[in-house]
Amino acid sequence: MKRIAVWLACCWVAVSCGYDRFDPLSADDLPEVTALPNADLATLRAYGQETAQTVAEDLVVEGYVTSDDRTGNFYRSFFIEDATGAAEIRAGMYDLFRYVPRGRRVVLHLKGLAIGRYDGVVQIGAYADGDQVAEFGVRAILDGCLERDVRFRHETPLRQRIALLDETMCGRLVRIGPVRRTAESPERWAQPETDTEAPQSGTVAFRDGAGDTVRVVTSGYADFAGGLVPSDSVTLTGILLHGPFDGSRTCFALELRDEEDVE
Amino acid sequence: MRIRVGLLMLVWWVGCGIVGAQEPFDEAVFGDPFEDDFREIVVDTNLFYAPLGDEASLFARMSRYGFAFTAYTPRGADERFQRVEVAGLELSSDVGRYPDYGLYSTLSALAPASSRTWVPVAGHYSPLFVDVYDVRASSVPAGISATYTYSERRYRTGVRFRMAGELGSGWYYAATLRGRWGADACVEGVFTEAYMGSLAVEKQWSDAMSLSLFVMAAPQQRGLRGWTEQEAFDLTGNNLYNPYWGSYDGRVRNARVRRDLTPLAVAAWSWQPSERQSYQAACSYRFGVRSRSGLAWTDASSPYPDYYANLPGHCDDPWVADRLGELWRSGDERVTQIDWERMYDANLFATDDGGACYWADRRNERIDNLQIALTVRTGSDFGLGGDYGVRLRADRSNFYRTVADLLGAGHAANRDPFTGEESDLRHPGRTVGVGDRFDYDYDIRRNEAVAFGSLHYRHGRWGVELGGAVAVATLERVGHYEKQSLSGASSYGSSGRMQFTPWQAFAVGRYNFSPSHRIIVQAYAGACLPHGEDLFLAPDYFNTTIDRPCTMRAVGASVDYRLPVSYFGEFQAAAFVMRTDDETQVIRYYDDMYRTYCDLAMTDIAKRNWGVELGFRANIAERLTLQATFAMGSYCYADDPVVQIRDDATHEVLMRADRSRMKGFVYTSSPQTMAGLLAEYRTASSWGFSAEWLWADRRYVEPNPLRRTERVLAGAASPEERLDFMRQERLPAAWVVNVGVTKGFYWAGMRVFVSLSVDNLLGRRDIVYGGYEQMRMERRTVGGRECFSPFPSRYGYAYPRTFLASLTVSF
Repeated sequence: MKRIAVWLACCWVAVSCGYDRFDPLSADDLPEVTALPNADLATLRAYGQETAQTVAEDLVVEGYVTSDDRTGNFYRSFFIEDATGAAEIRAGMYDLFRYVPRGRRVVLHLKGLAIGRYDGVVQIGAYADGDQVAEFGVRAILDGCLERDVRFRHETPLRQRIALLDETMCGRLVRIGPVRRTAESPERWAQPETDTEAPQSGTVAFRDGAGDTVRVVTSGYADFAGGLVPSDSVTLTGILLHGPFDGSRTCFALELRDEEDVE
Repeated sequence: MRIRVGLLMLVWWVGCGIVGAQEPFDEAVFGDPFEDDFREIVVDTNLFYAPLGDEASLFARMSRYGFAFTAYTPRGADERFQRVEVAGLELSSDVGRYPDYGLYSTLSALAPASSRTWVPVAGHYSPLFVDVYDVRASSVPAGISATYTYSERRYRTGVRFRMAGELGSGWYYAATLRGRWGADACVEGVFTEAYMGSLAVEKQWSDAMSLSLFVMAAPQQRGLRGWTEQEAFDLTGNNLYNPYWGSYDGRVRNARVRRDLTPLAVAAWSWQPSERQSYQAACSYRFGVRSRSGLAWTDASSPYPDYYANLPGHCDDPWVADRLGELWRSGDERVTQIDWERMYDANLFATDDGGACYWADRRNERIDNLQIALTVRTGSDFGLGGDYGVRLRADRSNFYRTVADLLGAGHAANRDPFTGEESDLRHPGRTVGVGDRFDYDYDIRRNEAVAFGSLHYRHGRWGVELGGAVAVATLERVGHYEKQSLSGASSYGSSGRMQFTPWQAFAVGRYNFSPSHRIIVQAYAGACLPHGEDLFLAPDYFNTTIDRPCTMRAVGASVDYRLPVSYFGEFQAAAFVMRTDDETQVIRYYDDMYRTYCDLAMTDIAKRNWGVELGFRANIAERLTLQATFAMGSYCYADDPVVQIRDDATHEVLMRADRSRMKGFVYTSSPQTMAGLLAEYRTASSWGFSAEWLWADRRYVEPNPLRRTERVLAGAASPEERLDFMRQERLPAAWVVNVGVTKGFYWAGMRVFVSLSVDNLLGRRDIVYGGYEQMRMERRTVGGRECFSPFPSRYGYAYPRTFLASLTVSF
């Protein structure tokens, strides 16, 4: 009987334990991205020029993330860029800087997705919704077509003079300067939310030495919306847009990621 | 031999109880996801030594374990009325809102003897019942036993060794070792690792005096299971779907794991100088930590797969809803379960300074409970006797949150994960690592002195007992963190002592028409100490109390009648009525109308419950017994409670005093109509067979007081939607069939007992265990106006067919 008891006791100790004991994971344990791109981002400008268009081909593109929503200036979307062009991914989610931080390489499988155009930017969305592309809305759906690599590369902004800006550059990270805020522009980037006022987007015009003007558009929800716009000569870095930012007249504008984009 | 067979049958009967016990879910009520931290129902009982003479009614016996397939509260009464006592010490009145079922089940498994009574015990009274645990080693018959158990619920393997005996010179001992481990066979992610041990030693000086010492420790951890919306069950095609686990490096990892290591030591001295006089003094000390893990995140999306934004039913865009539904139905575990890799990914690649945006936390309670009790029993030759005594207790529970796993990050910030404000202004900018405290750290301190007594008189067939208790209790919160949102004395230091005077008075009358024909009538009134978490608006963070802290008043009566039917049967009937007033409850939740976290304080809660319980037992043959029980009641709010809502961060009053239209709503998921049939057959060769059918109906989801306030009702888009807010969903009737077979025999000089039980024999998978209404609401714009509609309720399902087998060897 003693033997049985000892045997049972040994089984007791040996068989049990470990259900809540886990070793930490490392970056090597995370899934690798194995898909290879077969198109570049510039080719996407051929799609959805007039109205949003669903991709029927087996297109795979790659890019590095150039924007994030950490400061609240970008809303539910992020931009990627490769050597040839850029595109905006209409994720439709918050806290994207935790999902696709700046500089992260991503690979996108475009078959079945929709491509459209807005403010001169190529937009990629879940499906075509009239002229627009619809947001993915849920991370699980985006995960089905987006692979996130562990490789990072911070794209060097495309340095360009205002006069030489071109609509094919839209969506890319562009650096412009030196420029100076125009006298008639507001002193703050945008109208932030206050106890009495709702947040409103703002547009600030900057002029370079040649007399050409570029706008900076800022969301009223951006952390720096209420910040003062420098009146000195500055260099601006931001995502290039082309749209009706000057009343009804279309023009180029930059969307800053944070205040550090103003140097 | 008959005694042995009887004992074996008793073992089997209790064993069936074990089968019937079901792990309740992690979330039992709406609101705060952490309110049910330490809940565990009694899953075991004293397998070998439970006494028969506890006067349990047929319904009480059948319902104690039988209704494990549904949320069940005896008589729908407040759980404060379930008393647990050890040598005059009260172990049931905890600091927290929920009974410490973990302690009860451990005591049940380890204490030398136990019984449940429905009448006053040594001056102690409860309108429901009193579970009394005897820690005297001499209360256990001498012997050694070993039990091996195979289970499909919560664990797979169980082993228990018990031994008890006399050492000579008046010394007795009883020791128990028990282990349970393994993964649940039905619910993924649920597991148990529990190791328990106890030792009871007693020294007797003649028969008159004894000194007992009982120590027990039960380190254990259990993976939990969560309730969720029906949509998640439908999409996964699995009513046992558990949203709390995810695949981690090829293994199942549960995000909600409960741990408990709270040893208990009891010393009891008793002296019985004469048959009518006895004295007992006891002291207990309980200490240790119990905790529950979870996930925390900041500036990131919820990692829980059943978070509303991850469910198709909450998507506005039909395309997104369809596509998301496809993903759920595909069984992709990155969608249907917790994605641990995603959290690691965010921590490894999406933080600037190595700080965590996702981490695993642990909500801890460090218990420190000291009690002393003195009980005196006196009697006289002419039937008059008295029990009286005093009880002192000091509780100091330290509540704090720690980092359990940084999930690849280097540290976490000691800031409020939601607002980003400093958690402790006295140590600003502090970063925390694994094991460090963060977010909150405070004590709830309670001191209580109770004087109790009763007088009982018996004359012939008559018996009457009058008794009462009065206490002075103080309760305070002592904050160790000074919060940024409400600094100074609002969060740091003492809240100031609140004093209460709980009391109780009862009268019990009994008349025996014959030894088996009798009636017992009881009446009682009293006031109960409120729970700490219902006194403070946000006890984790602030010292602010509700506007009018007060005790909960209770008044009620019951009658219990038993009548022999011819020579073969017995009829039992009981009726009860109870009303409670001035109850308070605080719910912490996210308010979709105010768009911020809020504290909802519900005061002036009035409830009434009444019911009848019937039972009939017939020994229709020498070895065949049939039992039938039926119970029906009503557990409703008796009036509309007052609701006040405050901003959780600032405690600004957002809604001063609204009435929630709760009157008439059923306040619990417990069934209000129940029935049971049990057939037992024993053979002369110690085979035992049983089959039971249990049925529960008139069950409702637990209602949410927020939905029934004028403010919310005004937010409905149409009269129909207004009705949706007001409607309380009735759960479908549930029934199960359970069977069991046992065999007892002798082998090599040892008593061997084998049992096999099958619960839910028909394998019904559609039995809703319980449900509750969520606090969240859908927001949308209708005709330029912001309108709201209620979130779907959350449910849990009962286990399908499960087996439990055990082999016990005694010698």
